Amino acid sequence: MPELLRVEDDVVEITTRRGVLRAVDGVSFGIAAGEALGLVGESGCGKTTTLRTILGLIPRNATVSGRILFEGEDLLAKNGDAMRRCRGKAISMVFQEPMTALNPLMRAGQQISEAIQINLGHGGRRAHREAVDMMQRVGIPEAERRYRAYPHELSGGMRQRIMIAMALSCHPRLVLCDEPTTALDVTVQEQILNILATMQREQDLSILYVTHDLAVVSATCRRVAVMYAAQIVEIGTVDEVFHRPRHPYTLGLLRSIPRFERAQETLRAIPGAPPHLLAPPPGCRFHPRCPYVEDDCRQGDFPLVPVGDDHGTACIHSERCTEATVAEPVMPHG
Amino acid sequence: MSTLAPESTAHHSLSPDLPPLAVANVKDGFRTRWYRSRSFVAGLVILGVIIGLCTFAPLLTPYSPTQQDLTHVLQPPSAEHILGTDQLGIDMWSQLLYGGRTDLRIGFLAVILPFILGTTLGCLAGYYGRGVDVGVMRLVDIVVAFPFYVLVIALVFVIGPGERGIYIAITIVGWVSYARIVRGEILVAKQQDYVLAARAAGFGAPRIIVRHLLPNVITQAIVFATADVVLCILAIVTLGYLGLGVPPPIPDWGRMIFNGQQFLTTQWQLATFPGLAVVATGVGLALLGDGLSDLLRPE
Repeated sequence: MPELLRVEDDVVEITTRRGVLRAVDGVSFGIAAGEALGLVGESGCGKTTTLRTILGLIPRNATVSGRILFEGEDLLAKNGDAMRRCRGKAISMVFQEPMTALNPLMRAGQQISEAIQINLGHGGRRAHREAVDMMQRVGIPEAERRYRAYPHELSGGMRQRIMIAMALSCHPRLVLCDEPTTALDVTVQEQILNILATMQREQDLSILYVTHDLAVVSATCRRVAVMYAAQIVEIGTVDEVFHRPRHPYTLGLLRSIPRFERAQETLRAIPGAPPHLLAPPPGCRFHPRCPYVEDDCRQGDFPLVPVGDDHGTACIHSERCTEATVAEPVMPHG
Repeated sequence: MSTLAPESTAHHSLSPDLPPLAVANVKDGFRTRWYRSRSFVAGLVILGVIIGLCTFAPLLTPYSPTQQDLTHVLQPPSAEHILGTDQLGIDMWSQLLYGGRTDLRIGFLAVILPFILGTTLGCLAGYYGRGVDVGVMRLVDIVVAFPFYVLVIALVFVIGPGERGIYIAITIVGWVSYARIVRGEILVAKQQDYVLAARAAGFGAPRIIVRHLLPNVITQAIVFATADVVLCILAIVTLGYLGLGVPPPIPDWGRMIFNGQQFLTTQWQLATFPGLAVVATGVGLALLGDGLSDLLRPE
């Protein structure tokens, strides 16, 4: 499959009063056309910032370096106007909190048709028709009536559907999703994920899902990248990474998910806390918390190395993870 | 035994079963609520009376406000002259009514120009920040360093008497409040997710400012404007009193007060009634502004 997006060595430096920190430190990955990639990690690991660099929406005190190739063109080399033409049209974004991401004073449907008018240049009436059509396709009943509703008159699930309709209305080739279901309850979550999956198939979209919920990723993505402290520590197909993890952090994450099939007395958490990005630990950033830490983990750089077909890890002792999963298999999600 | 299948599944496999939504209109809320605010209604009534009297002035008095009658100067209220005459024989009542026209008209117009200028500069300063913000705020500092009347009077003095001078002076001095209010609101509003979403959808800065930010921040500016109208009218009356307002023979409450004050012990109505008119107008506008801010406050 041809590659739609390739991020190479993305670095985002943020200048703060207490020094310069790297919110994203050398992140590289690719997404093929029509493919869904999940980007998982804890809060503050840099996954949302990575997402924003693709669309050029980072704050003023941040500088980006690296290359972000979209259909062969480097997005970071584009000037403001060129980037703006890209946004909403070739690449669009779905935000986490639909209540704040929709303009409270504008009717829901109008926000969709405005995007169509601006990005595709269609006239008012045509944009209105297309907006209603898209609303129906994402499963909003009585779309014509709900077009005229204001965001506060709609439920959370409806608002998120409006957001998705807005993001898909101009037929993008890549949709960036920033935790689209985190603010929703579980039943609505499933509906929204179904919508995204259906739309992805129908329009042959590529999707980049940023989330901290591993279950969402396993249900919707073919590949996944795990981020820790502004770096990618493991990347591969969901099947490989979730059943045969090759990084202690990924293993720790998977083990910490509570299981309902058997009773547990205590939850298994990873001890310690993620490092402050102003002063990350030398060597492997996970080493202070790693159960398999060795001396050579404490210094040096640890780029991703392949450990299988489409499976890469930053851990130089990843065979310890293999042993651990053989001894105690990671149970499949369900 | 038949089961009722939900009708929605046939066509909308992606949609949940929801009852039909009664789509209410937010604007309806304001229309149906306006009479609930007593301040708003009271202010509306007072202003309505004053504006009505001024508008229908020709029907309410046979005299012209500029028609002198030197044979009937300083007459007390009587059947022919409801409020008497001033030292030039001009009927007081018609001066009051036509003077109201002048002062109210100039007052309302003089609010709009600072509103537009201040809101525009406030938007630009708040949205773009950095250089633009620093520049605008330094201008604000310069204007604010002077007391309001000192600057207005100086400007009117320089520009010369007449309406044009009043508009220019008040605009130069009055835009700063609007700019500060709007800038503050925009600084907060632009952090909202929907602004980021608008940028992510490819909208440019002008569209974001005008279509998305402005409607969300303008209510504060409007509420301030209703209070500012009072200040504007007071300023015009003051300028008239100081002889810097509209020149004679155009009637003006301020000049009426000035002319009438020397007769306070004899024909006290000459100075008092214009003053009461100013007070009534101010109270009416203040109540209206209060009521409006009540109504516009988000529930």
